[in-house]
Amino acid sequence: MQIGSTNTSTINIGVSGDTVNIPSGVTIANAGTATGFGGDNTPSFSVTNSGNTTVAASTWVKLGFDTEYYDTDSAFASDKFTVPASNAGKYYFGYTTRIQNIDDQEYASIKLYKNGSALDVERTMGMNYSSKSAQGMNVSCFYIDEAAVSDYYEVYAYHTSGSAQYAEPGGTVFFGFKLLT
Amino acid sequence: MASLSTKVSLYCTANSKTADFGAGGNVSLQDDSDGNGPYIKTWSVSGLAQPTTDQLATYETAGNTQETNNTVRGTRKAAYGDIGDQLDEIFKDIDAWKTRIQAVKDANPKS
Repeated sequence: MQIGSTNTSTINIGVSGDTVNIPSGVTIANAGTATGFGGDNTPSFSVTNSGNTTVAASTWVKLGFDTEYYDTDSAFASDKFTVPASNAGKYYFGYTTRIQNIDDQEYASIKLYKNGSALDVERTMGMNYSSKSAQGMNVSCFYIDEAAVSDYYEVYAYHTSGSAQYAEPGGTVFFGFKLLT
Repeated sequence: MASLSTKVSLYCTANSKTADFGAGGNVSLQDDSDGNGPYIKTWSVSGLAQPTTDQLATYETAGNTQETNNTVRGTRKAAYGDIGDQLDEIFKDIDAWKTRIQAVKDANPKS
């Protein structure tokens, strides 16, 4: 059955307050463009750094991110992601870095900060021990957080090497996106 | 310039305390990369007050020496080589091993 003709611009089904039922067993096959269904996991962003961040020994140091792979809502600036207006909800964050010259039994770590304070230390912190001298140490972590508008998120790194080390630009990435609900 | 962690460690040691910077430790240091440098974020060293900037500055020279020596230790450690290989060296010719280790020490003196 054909509803509408080639020159029908809009077909309305029901009015406000109505319920349109699709019975069990019915398949909706869409070959066109659907809007208003589902979502696209935005805001989303992915950033890295073009240079080294110097990470002092035994000190949590905020990582720099000056290069955006993408930033759908222009919500990433000044090394932090800030939840835009009308976009509160659950967000998935991933963050990783690579610290140079970590010796045997020393470790490197990474942590997510929210509004200037470290989030839950156990669940938001990645840690990795070295078993050899002068190793490049990758540390990563992932976290889902309930975010309100204007909440902001940053990434800090840490290591126990005896002197300051670099967080390498090639191994340093911070990304996130809003989960569909 | 000695790092804040080195100076805090020396301050604690001088007062018969131990600074633990790790997760759940008694001191945490932070640097917000805003140009103001690192600072003491939390301090809970039992029986010892948080040091002032002036107090920490008195450990600058000792801190530099310690950090220089840490670098020397790292250089020496790398030159010594794998501990398993060293045991093999000792088993085969302990005097030759001692000569090699002494040469590494001489080439990398501590302050």
